[in-house]
Amino acid sequence: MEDKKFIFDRRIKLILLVFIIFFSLIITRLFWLQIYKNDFYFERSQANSERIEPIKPLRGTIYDRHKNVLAENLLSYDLVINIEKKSNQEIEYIITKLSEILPITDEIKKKFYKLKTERKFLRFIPIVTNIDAKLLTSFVSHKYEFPDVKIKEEFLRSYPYSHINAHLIGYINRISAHDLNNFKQDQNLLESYFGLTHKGKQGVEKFFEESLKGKAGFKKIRVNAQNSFVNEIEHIPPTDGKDLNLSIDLDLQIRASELLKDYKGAIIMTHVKTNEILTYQSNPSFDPNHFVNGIGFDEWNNLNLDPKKPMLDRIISATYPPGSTIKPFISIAGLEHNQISKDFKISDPGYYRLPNSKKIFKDWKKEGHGEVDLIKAIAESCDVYFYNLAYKLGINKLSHTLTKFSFGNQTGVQLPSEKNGILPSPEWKQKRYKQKWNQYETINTSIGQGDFLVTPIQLTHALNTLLNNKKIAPPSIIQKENFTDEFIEPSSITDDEFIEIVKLGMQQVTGDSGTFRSIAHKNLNKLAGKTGTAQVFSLKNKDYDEANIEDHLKDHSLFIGYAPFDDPTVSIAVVIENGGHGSSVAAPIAKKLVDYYFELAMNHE
Amino acid sequence: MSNLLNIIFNYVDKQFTVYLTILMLFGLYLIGEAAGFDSNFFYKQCIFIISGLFIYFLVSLTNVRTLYRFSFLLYLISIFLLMLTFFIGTEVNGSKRWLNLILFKFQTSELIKITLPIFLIFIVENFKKKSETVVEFFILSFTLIPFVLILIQPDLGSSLIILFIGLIIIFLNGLNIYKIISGIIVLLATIPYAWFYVLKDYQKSRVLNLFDPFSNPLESGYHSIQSSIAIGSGGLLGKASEYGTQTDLLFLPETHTDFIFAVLAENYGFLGNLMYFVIAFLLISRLVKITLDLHLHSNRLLAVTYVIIFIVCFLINIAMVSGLFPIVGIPLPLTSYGGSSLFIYLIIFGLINALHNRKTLIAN
Repeated sequence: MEDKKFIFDRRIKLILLVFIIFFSLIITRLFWLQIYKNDFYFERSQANSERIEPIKPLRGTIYDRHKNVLAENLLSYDLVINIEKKSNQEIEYIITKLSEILPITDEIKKKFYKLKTERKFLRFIPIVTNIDAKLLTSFVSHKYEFPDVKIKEEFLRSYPYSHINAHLIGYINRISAHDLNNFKQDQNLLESYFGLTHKGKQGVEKFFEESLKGKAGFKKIRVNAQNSFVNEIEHIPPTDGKDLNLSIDLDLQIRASELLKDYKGAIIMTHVKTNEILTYQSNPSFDPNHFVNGIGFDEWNNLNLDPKKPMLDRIISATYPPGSTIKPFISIAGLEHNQISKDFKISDPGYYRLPNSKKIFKDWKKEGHGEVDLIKAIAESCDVYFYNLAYKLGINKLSHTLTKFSFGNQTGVQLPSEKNGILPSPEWKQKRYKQKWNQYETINTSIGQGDFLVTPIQLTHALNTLLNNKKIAPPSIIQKENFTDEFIEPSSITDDEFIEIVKLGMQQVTGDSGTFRSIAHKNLNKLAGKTGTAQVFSLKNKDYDEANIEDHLKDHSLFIGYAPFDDPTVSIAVVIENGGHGSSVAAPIAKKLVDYYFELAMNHE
Repeated sequence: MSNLLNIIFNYVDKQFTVYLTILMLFGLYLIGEAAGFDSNFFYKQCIFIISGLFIYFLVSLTNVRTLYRFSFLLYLISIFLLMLTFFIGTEVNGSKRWLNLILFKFQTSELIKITLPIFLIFIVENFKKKSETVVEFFILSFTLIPFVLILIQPDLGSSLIILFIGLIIIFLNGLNIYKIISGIIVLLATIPYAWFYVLKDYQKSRVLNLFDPFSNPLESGYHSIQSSIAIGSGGLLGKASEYGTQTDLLFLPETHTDFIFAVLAENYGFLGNLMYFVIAFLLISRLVKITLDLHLHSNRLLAVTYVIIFIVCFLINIAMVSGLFPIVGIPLPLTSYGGSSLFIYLIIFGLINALHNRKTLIAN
């Protein structure tokens, strides 16, 4: 018995010792958690309960030169689903239940799930965007059944004139997974998009993204474990984006759009002195509003597969052979290099034979123009005169002068995806095709054919350079504050006298015998210019017969012009794809728009 | 009236009763902080404490000899209730542990914690002349019956306590060292079996989470992480004046029950914990002193078993809340919200008083 009590006492002590060791472990652990790692756990407890909710800035409004709104932010309502801590089945269940009261198509569902996988940090995913009042009412009456569906006020980017300004303004679009990956390469960029859901994807919206987008503010709030709001800790207001005043004239845009309605083509009208763009019209066009919250797959496909290419910005992203519209600039080259003078004459039999060769170049006028001087050559667009000139000049002198007018280079307009065009030269050919230059290519260049390609914006830019006889600033779509001339270099690019000669030629184009003589006696606004017909497809040994040729192989119709010819104020370039002769399609359109410009100018005064 | 009170107080250890009451009120205050001072939990706990103290005084008056005499019957009743729970018990979170007694839900596994030691000590006393091995066999058998019944509820924590009761009595009764060693070997051998066939997936992941709670932060590791965050963020002095983010904002759920210690640690910090430990230490040391002063070996064995259960549950709960031990549903004695657990400890302490009184009676 005593023995048992002895064992008992010893074992009690042993157990107490175990308890003491266990307790010391606990104290050590508490010390570790509360004293040693306190900062770490304190931060984690803050992170548990603090939420940062971004406050979106308002994107800058875009105006035309008369303060008409071209892009604005309209208050709209989205239905969003809170997906936090929810399984896919739960989410699917909510959507199925929603579809009983709202029309939720597979397309909408697809968009929702795409957004959900792409934007992993979003808690609220929009399911129905810009919901209309009727549907909103029917949702509100069922609201209590959907604790996880919220109505969210959003400012929706809206383009009130839809397709009329589509290529110029472009559009914004939801930030995609691809965009996010790009942002992640640059911490500053990523931070600048904090709280933003959209990004400029095309046109002005893209080019002026930095100043339009603004900067999001945020509020730091405390929430409980159910994510319910408890209190606000910090509030930083957003900085709204800057408004933008474009040089564009909405009335001219609308008119230009009507004029282009039946054609594929482009119209650009600019101020001669400032190089400000007044009209920027490319047709066919699209509705930018459809892109803002994600365009449907079918619609996107239709737009992209359409052979008329409605998404193509024909002003800066499409290139065309300039055709005869290049002749005024070729004339400058001839005058500059003393190969011709105002009175230099040739006799045109209707064709030109390249010296020491059997190669024959036809004039557009079969029977020839007879005795031709420079003025007449420009006015009647005599090909043989320029073949002859080009041969005498040689390609190097020719391209040297054309470079001064920015052919073959971007004009530097403040818009994305501007093309260079091609100014052919021996160096260019060597680089591109690794081939030697052929003399007949010089001949082709003189009438704007062959490999020569320009964008419509290059045409007005070159024309404005010529009319000012100065290296002018890039075309601008931003309205300039003071109406002064803007030249990069003060010195003239060539002799003023040469400019006057060429201008006289362009004036004669709308004269009694010019290619655009149809307006000779009703040219109230003194329009001068140059027509052009650009070959799309060379018909070997066959005559061009407009009636019997497929539409997409027809010649492009071009016109460049300015008015009034005694004091150039506006310049214009019109390109009509497969439109046939320059004088028959492009020139009359230019005339109508220029007349409208002066009509508007009179009303504004 | 004052005479009656005097008589009652004569039957309890005054110093111990004071510590006991302080600890319960401390717990009550923490429940108020966790669940709200105007919540149902707070009011109910008030009632539990008052009625529990009443039971405590009442039990202190009992004659322990009578208890021994009826210990087999008590044991049978406890087993019957456990079986009854299996058939008509209330199911919560997939386990049937409670009998609905309308006023409150009664956790039947708690009752066996009281009756099993009495019955096992009864066996020890009555089979003194039998060989030790026979006694040990009986003890183990009568332990395994409730152990299995509770294990299948399933309630791993309580069933392990029952097993522990049997083992500790055998151990204190002088189990020889060779049997201990072979027992430990057998126990180790059953661990792989238990891992693959007995433990449910959620129980396994709780054990695994102990080593790496962040491997599964939203599901099985959630409690462990949030509890560690609550404790760790408390620091030295706690953050009672600010938002006690973890507990006030409900990131740590059910704080008024098993995780009440986290409320203390977050709101009052390391120093608050130490204060709590001082009270608990005073209580336990008084308890140990009373127990070891008992004359009869059997009484001492019974009282010590109860005290060990109390201390083990106390330590395991804190170890669990601070992430040292897997999450097993063991409340913090006298502090967590809950009637069953509170009554059991007060009955146990009443019994220890009764044993103590018997010693005084014999001495007189």
